[in-house]
Amino acid sequence: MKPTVSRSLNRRQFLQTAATALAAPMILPASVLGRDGAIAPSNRIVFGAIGVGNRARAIMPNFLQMTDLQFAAVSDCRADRLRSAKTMVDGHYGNQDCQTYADFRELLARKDIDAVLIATGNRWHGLASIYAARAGKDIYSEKPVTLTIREGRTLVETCRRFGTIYQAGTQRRSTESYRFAAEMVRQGKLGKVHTVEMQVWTGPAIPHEQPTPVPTGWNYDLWLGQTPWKSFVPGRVNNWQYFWDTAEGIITDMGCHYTDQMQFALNRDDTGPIEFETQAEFPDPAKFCSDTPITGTVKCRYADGLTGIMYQRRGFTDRYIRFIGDEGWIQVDDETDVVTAEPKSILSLKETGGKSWDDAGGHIRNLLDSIRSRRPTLCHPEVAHRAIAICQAWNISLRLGRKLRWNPVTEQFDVEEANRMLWREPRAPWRV
Amino acid sequence: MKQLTHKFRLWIVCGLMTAPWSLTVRAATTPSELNTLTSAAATYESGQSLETWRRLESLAREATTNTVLRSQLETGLAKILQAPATYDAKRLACQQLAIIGSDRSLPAIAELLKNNETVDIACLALSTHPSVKANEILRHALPNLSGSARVQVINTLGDRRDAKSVELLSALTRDPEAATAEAAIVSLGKIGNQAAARVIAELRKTSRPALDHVVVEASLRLAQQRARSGDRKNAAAVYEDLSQPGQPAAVRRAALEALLRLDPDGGEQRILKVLQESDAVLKPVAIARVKSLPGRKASATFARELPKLPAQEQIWLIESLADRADKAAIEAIKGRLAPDALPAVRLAAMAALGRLGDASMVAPLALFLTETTRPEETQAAMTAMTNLRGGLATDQAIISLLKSGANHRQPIAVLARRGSQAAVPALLIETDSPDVKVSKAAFQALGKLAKAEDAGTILNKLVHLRVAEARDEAESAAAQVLAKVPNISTRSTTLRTLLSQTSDRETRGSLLRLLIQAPDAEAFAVIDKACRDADARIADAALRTLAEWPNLVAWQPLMACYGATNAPYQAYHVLALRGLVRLAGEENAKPNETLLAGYRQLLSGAQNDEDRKLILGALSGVAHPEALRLAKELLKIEGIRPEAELAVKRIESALKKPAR
Repeated sequence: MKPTVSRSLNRRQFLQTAATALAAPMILPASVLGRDGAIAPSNRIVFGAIGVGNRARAIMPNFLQMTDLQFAAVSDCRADRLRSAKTMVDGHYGNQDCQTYADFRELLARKDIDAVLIATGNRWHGLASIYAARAGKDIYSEKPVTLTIREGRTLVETCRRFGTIYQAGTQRRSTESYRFAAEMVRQGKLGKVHTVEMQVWTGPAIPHEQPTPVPTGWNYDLWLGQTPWKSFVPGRVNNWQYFWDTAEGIITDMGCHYTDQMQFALNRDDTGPIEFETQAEFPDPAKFCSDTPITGTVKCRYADGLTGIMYQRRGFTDRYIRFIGDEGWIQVDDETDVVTAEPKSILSLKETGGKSWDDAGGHIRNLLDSIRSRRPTLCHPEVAHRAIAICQAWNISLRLGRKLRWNPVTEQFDVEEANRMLWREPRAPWRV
Repeated sequence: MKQLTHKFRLWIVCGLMTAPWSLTVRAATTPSELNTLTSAAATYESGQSLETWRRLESLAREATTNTVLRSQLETGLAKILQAPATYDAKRLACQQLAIIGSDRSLPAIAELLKNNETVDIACLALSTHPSVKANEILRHALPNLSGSARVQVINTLGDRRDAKSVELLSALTRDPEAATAEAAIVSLGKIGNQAAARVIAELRKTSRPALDHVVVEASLRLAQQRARSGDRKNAAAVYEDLSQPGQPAAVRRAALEALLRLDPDGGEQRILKVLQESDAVLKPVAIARVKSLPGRKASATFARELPKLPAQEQIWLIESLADRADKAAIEAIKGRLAPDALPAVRLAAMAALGRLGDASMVAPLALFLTETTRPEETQAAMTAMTNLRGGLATDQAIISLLKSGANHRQPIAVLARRGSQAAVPALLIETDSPDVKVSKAAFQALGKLAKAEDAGTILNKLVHLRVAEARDEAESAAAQVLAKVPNISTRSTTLRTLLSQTSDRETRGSLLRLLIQAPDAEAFAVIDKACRDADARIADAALRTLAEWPNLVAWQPLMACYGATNAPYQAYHVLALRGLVRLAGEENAKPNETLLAGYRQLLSGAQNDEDRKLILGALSGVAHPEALRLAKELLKIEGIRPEAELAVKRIESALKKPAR
């Protein structure tokens, strides 16, 4: 499988592109500004939020700082989170206008809403995106963008079918440190890159607990969404990231940021590796109900021999990505956003300053500009699907306990059982 | 590469040896053992141990390469479905059968389709089942189901693309229950054969309005499938219909995008038509597509359209043309730099040219820089010039502006941002410019661009400075370049030699300050001596350098200055204290008697509470009982009690931590 050869940018072009991505929108003040100098309401992009838990609370301030968008509604299957999100939005605008919906389908039915922020739990990212696209909304979806590989391909097809502008929340593509590292890779400063090393943190093990009644204010059936029905177990529900059904563990949850960077830096956005192999340590099933790795090492290999290795080990603050070539390496430390490299002369090319990944403003700006111009975003569905598919393939390899070969064109494995794991039928009424 | 591949293979072997759970799981190979396992597994409920299920899952992995085990295991899992097992157990069994199930387990799964509560997990097992018999089971079950269970089976038939269910689903599209009708319509769209297409086509004329959205969804899906299979005519007919003003904006946009992809000319004529109309929904879609149009003529065609469009659309079209990156596109964009173009359009044009242009764009951008009076345009032109491709040739074109153009400052800034080392000789000349701003800019650029081997030249420029106002910039450039000289001793020798040859006070002051870049013993001796220089300005430069000195050799002279009561040293009390506190703080990690004696000295020399606060800040980082005692002593002083309390707390906390 020959990787796509997209035009590699030189440093200056890179800086320019970064500036374009991060700059203010190319809009005409004369045509969009109201009399008081503010953006006229009719020219604002109206947003709704689907899922307003911890992640939404972290990223919504980045959205709210954009003067050419307006949050009009929020939805969540938990009443406490709905109240809290409404307070945040209303507090920002100084009014009581933000509407709340327990069921996101009511929010999607509103014709005045142009776009949605999807910041649910992982099990909902893909499906809610598909529902939003069908409802004619443009989308910013948190990662991991889908639950299965086939759901990912369906997301790509649905957005294409409905002309949806979609941005995946892999905002490191809009972050200077990561863009710099990618550009050094593309310019050949490391020589021929042969390995991409990535590291995420050691996972927890969630103890068995007895089911309890569903807390007041929760629509638990909606919370479960497409996943098989299970009784309400607080530990399981509050730690959904560590269960196959509702997420796929840290290798997917955080790892997809790094597979996205690997694909981005190496110009492989419309293809993927051809081989996956994995090993991992899992929780003791006698004591723990979580079923995703505690530690592990997963590998993939592209057709040209380039190898991606992701370690799940050590602490939360030890996460990084390192591109290794035959003439040097470059690493971004995710916790500190510090770039290191060898030879060190590479670093002299780096501009000082720049925002870290925890400010998604540039990434959101890119989405808003694309919504107006209908040009693709930096992390459009194909890009997002290809990046998460690597993690999903690792998970399938882990579950089957065997090495897998993958055809990135047909999106099929060489093992029948693995192909049967590309998809999990959603629980009705949910459908793709 | 061969070596890598070999390592990779070795790793695979290791990987398989430690595959999930396999090391801790003893494979059950006899039917009786398996029977025991499945019996136990059938009683599983949330909250209980999952050991049995993990063992069964491990067996399922093994069964993918062991046909005998696979048969036994499938039988066992099917028994769980039949037995009075818990829902959780049946769910887990279905999840395994979704991966390894064959026709053998289908009858047991079919039983689950008779119970509304287990239809979802049955469909989980059937959805990826390779046998067409799975479709038969689903079709057979459908008439007896209602509500969500019926929707579940309809969805699964659609996801399995079961062509034989078209008739069944067609009838359900008229079902009074909206969820059922919607599911049936969507599934027909997924199946997408001729029969399904006929049903959808009919529904587009006759369905109830409440179902319009799913009919559109199914129509778009069918049109997409037809386009892929080469049936452009029928696909285009659907898209034409859906792009009409009566449809929702998103549907119209999607339909136009699809039409543009289908058009034999890539959509060129259709885009032109859209641009000539005033359909605000479709125009951005049409403009975005310009970048993908085939053929070189397209750029010229749309370049002609540029001036006719409103400003915002011009900006979008400039971006699309820039993506095409051909000559005609560049020329068209260049034309939008003209004075009569709207300001926002000019900015967009400049950004695009920065992406596309090379050395040939230097002159037009330079001209633009001389003509514009708008700061945002100046900034945009400089950014564009910085981004230009063409490497050295472009650098040389910008350098040539320094020889010919009147405006030097902006090209110098651009060269610095481009990292152009070829510009160093020209920049050295610019340092002598009578224009103070140009001289300063040249030194700033040199600090960034010059290499270690340029250190002597830049120091020479400093020593023979032509523009007095640029001293700070010259000094800063020299400091940056000296830092690139690897040998400290070489730096020190160079600076001391220059000092010995220079009598000018200002220059001596600069060189003394630069000695901080060469902190060896000889350099320190020079600083130490200069602190006592009769010339107050020389002494001031030396004392300030001393306060910044990076090692403990400065401690005693600084302490002398700190405790001095005579002029001029008294004036340097606070400066000396800052230096001392910094040096002490750097030693905090290894607290010993010398360090603690130093803190005691500092405290005894403190003249006021501000001094004590400064000392407390550093002292609080010493994890030593004596430091704690010193900090507690300071609790008695009213004016610094909050700082002392904080220090005590920090030291106590550090003392509690176990040694690592």
